[in-house]
Amino acid sequence: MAVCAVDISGVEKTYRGRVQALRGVSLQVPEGSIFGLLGPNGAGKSTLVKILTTIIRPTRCRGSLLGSPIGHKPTLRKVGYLPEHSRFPAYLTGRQVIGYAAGLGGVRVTSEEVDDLLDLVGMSGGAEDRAIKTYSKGMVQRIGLAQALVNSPRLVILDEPTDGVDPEGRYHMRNILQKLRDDGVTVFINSHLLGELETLCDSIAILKEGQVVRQGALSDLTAGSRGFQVAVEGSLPEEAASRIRGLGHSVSEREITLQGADPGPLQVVLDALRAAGVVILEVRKSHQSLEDLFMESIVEKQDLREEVQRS
Amino acid sequence: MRVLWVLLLDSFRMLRARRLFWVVLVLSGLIGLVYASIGFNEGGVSALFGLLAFESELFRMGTAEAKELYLLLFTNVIIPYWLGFCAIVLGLISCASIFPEFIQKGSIDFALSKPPARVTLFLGKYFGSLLFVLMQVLPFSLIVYLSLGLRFGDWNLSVFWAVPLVVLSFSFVYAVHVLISVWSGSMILGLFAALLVWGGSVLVEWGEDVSYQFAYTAPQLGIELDWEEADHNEVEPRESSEDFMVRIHWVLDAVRLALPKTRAVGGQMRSLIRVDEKGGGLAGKSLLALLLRDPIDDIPKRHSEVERAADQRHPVWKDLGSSLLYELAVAGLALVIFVRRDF
Repeated sequence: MAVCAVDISGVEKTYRGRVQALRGVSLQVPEGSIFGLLGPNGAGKSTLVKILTTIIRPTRCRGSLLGSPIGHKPTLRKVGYLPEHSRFPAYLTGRQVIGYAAGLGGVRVTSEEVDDLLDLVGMSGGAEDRAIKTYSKGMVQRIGLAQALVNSPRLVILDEPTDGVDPEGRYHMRNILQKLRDDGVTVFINSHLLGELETLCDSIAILKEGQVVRQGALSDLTAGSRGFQVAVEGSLPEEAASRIRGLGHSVSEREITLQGADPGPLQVVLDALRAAGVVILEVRKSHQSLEDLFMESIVEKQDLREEVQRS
Repeated sequence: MRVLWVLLLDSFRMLRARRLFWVVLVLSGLIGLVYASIGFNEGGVSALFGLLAFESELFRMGTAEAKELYLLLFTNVIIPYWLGFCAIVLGLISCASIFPEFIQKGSIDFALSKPPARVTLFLGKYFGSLLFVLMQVLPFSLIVYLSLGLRFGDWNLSVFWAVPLVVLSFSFVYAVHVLISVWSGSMILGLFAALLVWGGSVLVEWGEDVSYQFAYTAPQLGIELDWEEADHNEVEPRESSEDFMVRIHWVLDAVRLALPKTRAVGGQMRSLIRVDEKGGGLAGKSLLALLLRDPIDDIPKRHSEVERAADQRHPVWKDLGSSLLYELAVAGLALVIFVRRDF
């Protein structure tokens, strides 16, 4: 079994006023992977991240962060964190923010190391010596990422890291995160941008109303809905269409969809199409997108709740 | 320790970035310069490096009274009015946003996700805020120290008592601001509460002072007040007045004990900052009394004994100790809220 950077179970958080933000969350984040935490607004994502970083105290929590109990302050020396809507002291320059973060993190950094970090996040070239208050949102996020990496962390927790970052910056940030993963660092991302997470994450968890509704490796979660799609030229002759429908596949006017990863049935369909003289334009593998998986999970949960209410 | 240093350095950077800090520092420098420009010559007092001159028999070059007047200007005018009031108000305004900004979403997340304990972060920010007043009073006291030394050859280190005492006075008021702003997150509410408690405590101090004079000082001097005629009669001296006034004083004294005593700290400053033993014997006198009573020897001995007893009715340790306990309680409560709160 893989070693987990984050391994928690039964995490509960009830705020004053009896708002139950988390209802027994259990989560495992494999070390050296990129993990995405998804969920609609109010699902409890930020609460969970804040519990991991000791900003909020859980009502109940079992488990560990980098092998130490949750809430163990010294362990945070090995953790980098970029908060959502981060607000660094406006009077500091980007360079000073990194130095300040290093000081709070209990690490000493040389100016060369700070330069390297600034280079890494694309903030060298003069802007780093300007006050933060003059920065755009994207620049603040870049500095935020740099300060999160200043202590050479084993776990980086990023809350909406690409918020306000331009497309080039996002691409750049993705590369940095992949490089971190390759270096054995665990990256924990909390984001709404499903497309971005899909290209980046090794595993994900979907949170809904304070509970984990889906969790696992992204490839495993989307495997059940793998299949093939065949596009044809013109309209499909009725005879061929009924034959293919008879094989259990869905057919539209110009496309045939096959469920399952086995290529055997695909060969039968292709033979049938050729026999009918149909011109095949494209055959492609298909799988469920993260967005589909996300929506399915959310709706499933909704249905389940309605069912419980009805009964 | 390193973390505390990092937090103090951050506070220094924050102060440096605030315009008000520089405005107050420049004003402090100007007031210090005006103070340093006051001199004494054969005929009396000069100001603005000799541009203005005032004749005086008592305050002339070489007299101990001149030296004491110079010191009294510092302890009785500049410390209570500039450093003790204006600098504290400006300090409050300047530092008002420190805690509310610190606990804002995004900012507090950054700090709390780091290894230092919440207690360390709170104390670092709290003491960092006190830097504002420290950095105003320290250069000012230095100007006074140099002025006294260069003008009179009296290198009087006791002027530096102003530094901890003014910082303490500020911290008594600031603690309320921190408590309310940590609790509510509102800078305005914190500022309002601090000014309210400060004003209230000064009022109680003043009320206790006045009621003491009616309850004890006047009877001991043989003065009986005629409230109906708004006059006074001279009678045989006695220990205290009727029970009613003594009771009022007792209540105000009890309330005073529980509150911060910024006015009293200013008073203690006057007794701690002294000229050397060869002084003119003006210690403990108010500047107004000094200027109105001429010659000083006319003050009856009994009067000065009664005044001294009144001055000494609140020992330094009691005033400072109870004020510190108050600050400890208020700042401690703010700390508990900060440590226990989910941000």
